[in-house]
Amino acid sequence: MNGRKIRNGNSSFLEKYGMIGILILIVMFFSFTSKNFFSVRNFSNILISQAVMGCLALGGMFILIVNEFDLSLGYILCFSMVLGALLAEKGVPSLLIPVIMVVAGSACGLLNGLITTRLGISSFIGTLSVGLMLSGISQALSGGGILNTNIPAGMITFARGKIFQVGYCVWFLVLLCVIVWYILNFTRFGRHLYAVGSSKRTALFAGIKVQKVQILAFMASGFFCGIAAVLLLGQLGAASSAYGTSLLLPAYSVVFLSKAAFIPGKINVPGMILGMLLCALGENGIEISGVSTWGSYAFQGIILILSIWISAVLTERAARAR
Amino acid sequence: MKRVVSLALLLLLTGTTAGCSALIELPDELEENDQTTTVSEEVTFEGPAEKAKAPRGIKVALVPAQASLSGCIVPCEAIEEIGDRYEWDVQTFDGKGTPDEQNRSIMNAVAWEADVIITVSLDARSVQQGIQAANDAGIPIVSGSNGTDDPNPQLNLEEEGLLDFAFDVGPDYHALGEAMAEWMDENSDGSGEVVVYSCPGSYSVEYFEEGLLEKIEDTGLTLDEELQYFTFEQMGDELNRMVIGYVTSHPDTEFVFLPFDPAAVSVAEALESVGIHDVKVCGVLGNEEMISLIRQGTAAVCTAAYDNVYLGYATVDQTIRLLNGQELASPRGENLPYTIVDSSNLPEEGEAWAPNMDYIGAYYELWD
Repeated sequence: MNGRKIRNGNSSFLEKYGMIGILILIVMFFSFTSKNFFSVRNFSNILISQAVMGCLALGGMFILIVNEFDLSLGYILCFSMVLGALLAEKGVPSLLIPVIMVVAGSACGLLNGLITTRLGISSFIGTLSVGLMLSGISQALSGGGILNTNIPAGMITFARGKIFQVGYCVWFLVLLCVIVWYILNFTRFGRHLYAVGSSKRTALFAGIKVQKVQILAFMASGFFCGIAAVLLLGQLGAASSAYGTSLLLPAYSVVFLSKAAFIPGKINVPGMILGMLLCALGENGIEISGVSTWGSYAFQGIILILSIWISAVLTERAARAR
Repeated sequence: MKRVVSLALLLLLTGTTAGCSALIELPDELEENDQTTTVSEEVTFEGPAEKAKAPRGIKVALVPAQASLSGCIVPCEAIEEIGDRYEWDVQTFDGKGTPDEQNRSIMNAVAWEADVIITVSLDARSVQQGIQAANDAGIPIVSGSNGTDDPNPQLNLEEEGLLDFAFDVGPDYHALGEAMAEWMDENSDGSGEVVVYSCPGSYSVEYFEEGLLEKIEDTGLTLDEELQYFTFEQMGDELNRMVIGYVTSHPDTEFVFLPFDPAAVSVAEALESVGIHDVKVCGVLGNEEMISLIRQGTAAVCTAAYDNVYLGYATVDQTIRLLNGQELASPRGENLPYTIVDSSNLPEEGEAWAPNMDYIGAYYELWD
């Protein structure tokens, strides 16, 4: 098993690559409905705006792979942002701030992991509780207001700047995707994640330290929330207790959609990227084509339903094939 | 047999429910009062006098903070009407209530190659990337309803190294707050104790409260302890519980002030549902739900209203001047009319408050 990827070879070509076709159709359709859709500036903006959500989705992948659920992703993001903005206001050295934010996110993930494994509380309830607690802490830290003083210039440049018309944050997200893809497919930890997600009992009997894997998954999730917080703070230039909490469902939609491409039935990084692009381009196309404001909400809802349904169908099919 | 019994039970239940409905009488105070809808005194248009020819065929992007809020969408609808007249291509990019979406909407507007971006109730501090993108693309980006420009104190975000909108159009929130305090003083028939609920983070709220609190000091009213704080996320059940708990423990409270009508509506209904009828709830904005509750004689008694349609027209006026390279009108708010709406000056049912003046005609004369 060393270095071998876990494959599902029973999927048809359509199941593996059909989503690429859908993506192409979406691009063609909206290029026809709006002359501003198919432009370098528009695609550049889309990618930059998806960098934050992509980081959250990467974190969400670890959680869903081990068959848990984390409702605190958005709250961790918000808490890390508020913490970072507060530290900036207090004059903490610029280089330390993103580090502290990421460490704080990881610590929140660790807390989630400990609550789920050591206390035996369902991750759904445990992470929701942690999330609500973090929401209160964020409100207390921010005083209910907006923190926007002394946000490090480096963070702003990294979050908003571009090279070759592509944001620095986008290149960074690509790097993170490559790293996560490698971890999931070529490391023992990645195999253990899938094993625990497939069956905790079997993984335990196989000698895998299930609780340790779960805790690390939650920490990874928190880690990526911290990174997302750094990017979002740089992009917006401010933080408050109301920011970022709405990104949870879109992030999970994208992770569920990943099961519909490349390795059907299995959460995978290339599928996640494809899902992210599909959602982003679809939503952008709807808005830029002049559809009424409700159209965007309807699209998000439909995507969420479809992603969960497709995920369930393909997961079951993959399990039967094994 | 089972089916017959089930059907009989169903019929009995239906009949009982219908009968109960017939027997229930709404308390007098919840029946629609035959309140007088008054035609307010005609007022003179106090907007700019200098003409500003409206350009034709431009692309106007609207970015409301949240399209489901009437305070955001009414100005946008007014701008769409204006756009029909001058053959503008007007498109709305919904901010969906969160700064990350608002930021993204501005960037979508930039990608759409708008000639101008008009935002409503967006905080410039939270959408820096969007403003930067608009500036880099050479697209003017302006604001309405923020309270960050004349007649309100002007922000100097540039001094903090931040980017700002080209201008903001809004009512004089400080004067509006003073008017609210005066109304409370004139209409107090109890203890005169006021509790102010504040939602920090918005300049318009901050300036309104400044005016309110400063004026209360000049009146016979007394403030209950310190300001009570809540956040936007707490609006609804949580805020309702907070207010009910407060007035229960402070039975002498006469006035409860909330900075938004949606919050005031929710609180007023909650107070009615628990049988608290001796507290007066005051709001800001003048939306239809709040006016309806005032009309019904509930705990909601008044709202500081300003005309959001006028806000839309005034914002367009300043925008036209900006696009023409003309000097902007002063004050930026163009003397946006406001009033305190109570049971004595209610607008027609189903309508928001509007001043008795043909400002639409006046503006078209300036632009044609």
